[in-house]
Amino acid sequence: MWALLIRDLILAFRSGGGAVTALLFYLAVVVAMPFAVGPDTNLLATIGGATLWIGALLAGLLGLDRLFQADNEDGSLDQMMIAPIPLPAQVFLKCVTHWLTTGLPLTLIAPVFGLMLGMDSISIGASMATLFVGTPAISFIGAVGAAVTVSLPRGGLLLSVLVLPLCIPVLIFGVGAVRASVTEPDPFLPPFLLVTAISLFFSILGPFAAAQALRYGSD
Amino acid sequence: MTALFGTKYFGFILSAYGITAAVLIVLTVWIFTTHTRRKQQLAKLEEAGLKRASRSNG
Amino acid sequence: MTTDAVKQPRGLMALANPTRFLAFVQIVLPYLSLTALALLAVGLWMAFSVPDDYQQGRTVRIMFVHVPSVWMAMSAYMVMVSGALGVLVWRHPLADVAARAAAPIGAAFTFLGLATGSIWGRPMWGTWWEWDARLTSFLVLLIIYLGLIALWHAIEEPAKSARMAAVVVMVGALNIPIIRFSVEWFTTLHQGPSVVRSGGPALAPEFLYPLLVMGLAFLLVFLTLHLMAMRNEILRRQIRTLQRKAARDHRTGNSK
Repeated sequence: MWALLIRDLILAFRSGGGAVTALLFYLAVVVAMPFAVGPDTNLLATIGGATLWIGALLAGLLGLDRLFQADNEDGSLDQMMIAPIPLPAQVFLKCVTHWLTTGLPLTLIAPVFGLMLGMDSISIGASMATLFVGTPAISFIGAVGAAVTVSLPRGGLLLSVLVLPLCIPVLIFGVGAVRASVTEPDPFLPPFLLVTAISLFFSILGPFAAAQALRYGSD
Repeated sequence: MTALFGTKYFGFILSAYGITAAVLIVLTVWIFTTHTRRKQQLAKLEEAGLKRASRSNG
Repeated sequence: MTTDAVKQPRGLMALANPTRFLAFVQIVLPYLSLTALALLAVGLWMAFSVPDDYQQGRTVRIMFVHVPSVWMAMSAYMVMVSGALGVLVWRHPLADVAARAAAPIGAAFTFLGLATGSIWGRPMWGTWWEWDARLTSFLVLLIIYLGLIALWHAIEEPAKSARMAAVVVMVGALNIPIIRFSVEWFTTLHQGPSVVRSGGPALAPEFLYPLLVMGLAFLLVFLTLHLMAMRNEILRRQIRTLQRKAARDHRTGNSK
């Protein structure tokens, strides 16, 4: 099992693939926001949490269609299905890899971007926390979309259409938590716990659903 | 039906009911015409299918 | 509608149960559609004889198309969930037909819910749209519907598209409780639940009864359209089967 994880990680970082591209994309989104919205620092700080989250969501989506594609093309997907390790477990590992190469780096670099957006330290802390618990959800939900569209010709587009709406609750609660951390009466904990709950829920449902979809797709 | 008109919200109420009616009518018409079209298509195919079967038998 | 006790039928054999279904629709549809229209007429009459609301004035009448549309939008998704379970768990031959037929109708009702809600919102709260939890998750529902329709069209083989779509339907089902309960979890622009809640409906009777009648009317309209759409889907599969058979016969005929 560890061999699988390590192999995927090496692949992701080596081909200059997922990880670096995701970070660069994230940078692009975060930089584009101030250009689009204008230099009003108050406004930027207010929408800072949202900017960080949207960037994370889109950057996560980027790597998703590659989740199963390489294995599908070289036939190792079929190998995976007859391997002694249960397919959901393998999918789970792939999701973890995806998160380690997109969600986690984005979470860690959030403070830097937060400062660029003029956010205060509480917001940045809240953003990091929600990103840390919420980006796994993107990986797990995305796996389902990736499995369903793996053999379709323009699969990447359909994948985004399928995955994005399912991730919006995570976005709503995640940004809500960040906003609540600075707005006095709004509580931070409920939306934060909801994001955590969604991630945990999909960490189980996602791999199982994706594994099923992979099996259906191979018939 | 008292005083449906003459209220400043008339436009809103009308457009709400109007778009509901429009969408439902369009939906019904679309489903209905699809049905007619497919029935015709099916009839044509079955007719051709029968012809072919009788040809190979004959 | 009964289920065959045999294994899941394939190919032309799948028409066996659908044929019975088509006969059933043939009989039921006239009564269903006429009742739906009658109920709709009654509901509209009741809606227009309603007195003005203390706070909302005349615009309260928009509620009588907005709320039933939302109810139907969510019911259509529950029909798809049942279909998805029928595909994945019970392997009912018509399960995918039911789910697939429900999607465009559900999308239409979701669009109506959004549109009427927006029109109602303008005089009420002065805004066409708000990015609060309930409105956003309802918009998400529309996108899920459209994505599912695209998915069904993208995969050609019926059995495979059925199962893939079923998986996505189940995963997306999480959105429904979010729509339902988001108004309770968050103080948002949208008002809290006033009909289906513990402690009974909060609406006064003169508003509740027209709403229930319109809700029932919309339900019958949905059922009518859904049965018609299921019939269309069965026809489409029959056509597809015959077309492929004709292509095969053509090929073998030419080889003689």
